[in-house]
Amino acid sequence: MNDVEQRVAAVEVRLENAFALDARLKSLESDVRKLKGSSLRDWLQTLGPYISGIVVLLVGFWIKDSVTLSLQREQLDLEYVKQMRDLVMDFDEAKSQPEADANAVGLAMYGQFAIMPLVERLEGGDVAPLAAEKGLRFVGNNNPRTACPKFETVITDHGRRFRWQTHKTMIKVIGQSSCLNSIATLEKYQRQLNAAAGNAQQLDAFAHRYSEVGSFDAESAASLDKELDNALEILKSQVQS
Amino acid sequence: MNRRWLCRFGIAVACVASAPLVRAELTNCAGLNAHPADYKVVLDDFSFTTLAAQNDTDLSALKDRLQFNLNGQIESLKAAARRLDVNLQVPLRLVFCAGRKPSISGNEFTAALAERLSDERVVVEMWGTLDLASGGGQMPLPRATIGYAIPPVQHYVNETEAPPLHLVAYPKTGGAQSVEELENLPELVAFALVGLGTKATRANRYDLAVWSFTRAQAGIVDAQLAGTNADLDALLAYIIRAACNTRASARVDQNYSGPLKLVPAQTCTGTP
Repeated sequence: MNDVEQRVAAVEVRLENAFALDARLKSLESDVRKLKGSSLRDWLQTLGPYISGIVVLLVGFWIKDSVTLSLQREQLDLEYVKQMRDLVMDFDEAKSQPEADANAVGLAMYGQFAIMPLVERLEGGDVAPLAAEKGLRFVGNNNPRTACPKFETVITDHGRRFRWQTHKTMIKVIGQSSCLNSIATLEKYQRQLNAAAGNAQQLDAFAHRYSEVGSFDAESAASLDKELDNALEILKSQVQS
Repeated sequence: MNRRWLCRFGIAVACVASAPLVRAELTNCAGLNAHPADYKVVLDDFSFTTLAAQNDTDLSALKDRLQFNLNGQIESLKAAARRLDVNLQVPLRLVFCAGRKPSISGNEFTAALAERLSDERVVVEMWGTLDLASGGGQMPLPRATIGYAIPPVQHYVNETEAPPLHLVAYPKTGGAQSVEELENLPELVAFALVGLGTKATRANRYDLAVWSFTRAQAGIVDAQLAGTNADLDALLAYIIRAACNTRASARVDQNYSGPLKLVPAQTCTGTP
């Protein structure tokens, strides 16, 4: 091989190297292009294991938190029950009206939890119901949004669980607690009462909503009607102002 | 020395025995719920002004005798009503409120309590204090101050027109009859009938109301014989007025068809 041929062979080798380099360069460029155009899926595939770990951690924390809160709430309710039991006993054994009133207000400090115990106190005697009325008024004034719907359940009760005197007191308390959403319920109650008031049989049928039918008569109906008038007057004056 | 100590001990015992025990306690009367359709005469516990009075067996047993006699009086009233009209029911009964001792002035009977008691169909509530008064070297005689509250009158009627609270001191007519008076309390039934009439009128039970007012009028007139006062006079005037107004209401009530329709019209004065 002469000198020229050797030089041509060297050029050819270098040329082949250049082609090989070009091919590798093109391959690298295409990889770079692919990397530049990666989708959300690619990201998710990359970060997936980490994200799922974080989600499991958050859900776990949320579940633990809600269970803890629920347990704490249960413990609080139990604590309330214990404390309220003592107050209810004091309430029943009060030796004077001011003492019973003080116990009722103490009970009312438990807010919505005190409503049903206080309603139950309305059912018997004279001193205890007067104190319970004060307690219910206290609850109603503090939180009408929660209390008013509960007050309404007493006067719309179809289970014949309450006496007419209890209905009368609740109507009074609704009026004094700014239960503006109860206006329609009170108006309906009054319409039904007035429709029954003129006739002894209809009045008797109306009285079947109470736990004691025999104690409801024309005098009771007039007394309830007066209480409804008072409550509606108070509530409507608040709507207008 | 011993005699001196005995003397001191005797003085101490006498002081304790004569110490005032009266302490007002207006406990809740849960017994009001029983028999909801009946009108009720409420008897509270008596207070004793001294330990000596509290330990006196006759005075302690007074409540039992009073209960027995009042039950008899109520049964007698019911029988009298039935004799007048077989359909006239007098749903009246005694209710005892154990441990309840209002103050003798009756301050606890506020307007709110009166309304509540009236709603519970209480026509009268009675309470009082008992004591023993020395009778000039003889046996000590019972002495009492009895309070009567008429919740329906307090709730519905102006106080100036008809006083709802009455305090009566016994004996009114001398020692000989004092025990008998205390065991019967003649005013109690009269006051109960005033309350019953007031409620019956508003329940449109006209026959019962007029009968009650008529009997109450006789009872108050009897009570006035032993000593009248302005409160009794005012109550009597209210009874007469209320009876007249009840008859007038009965005449115009189209749902009523009883004997009061036949009574000639009268001019009534004042509010019922």
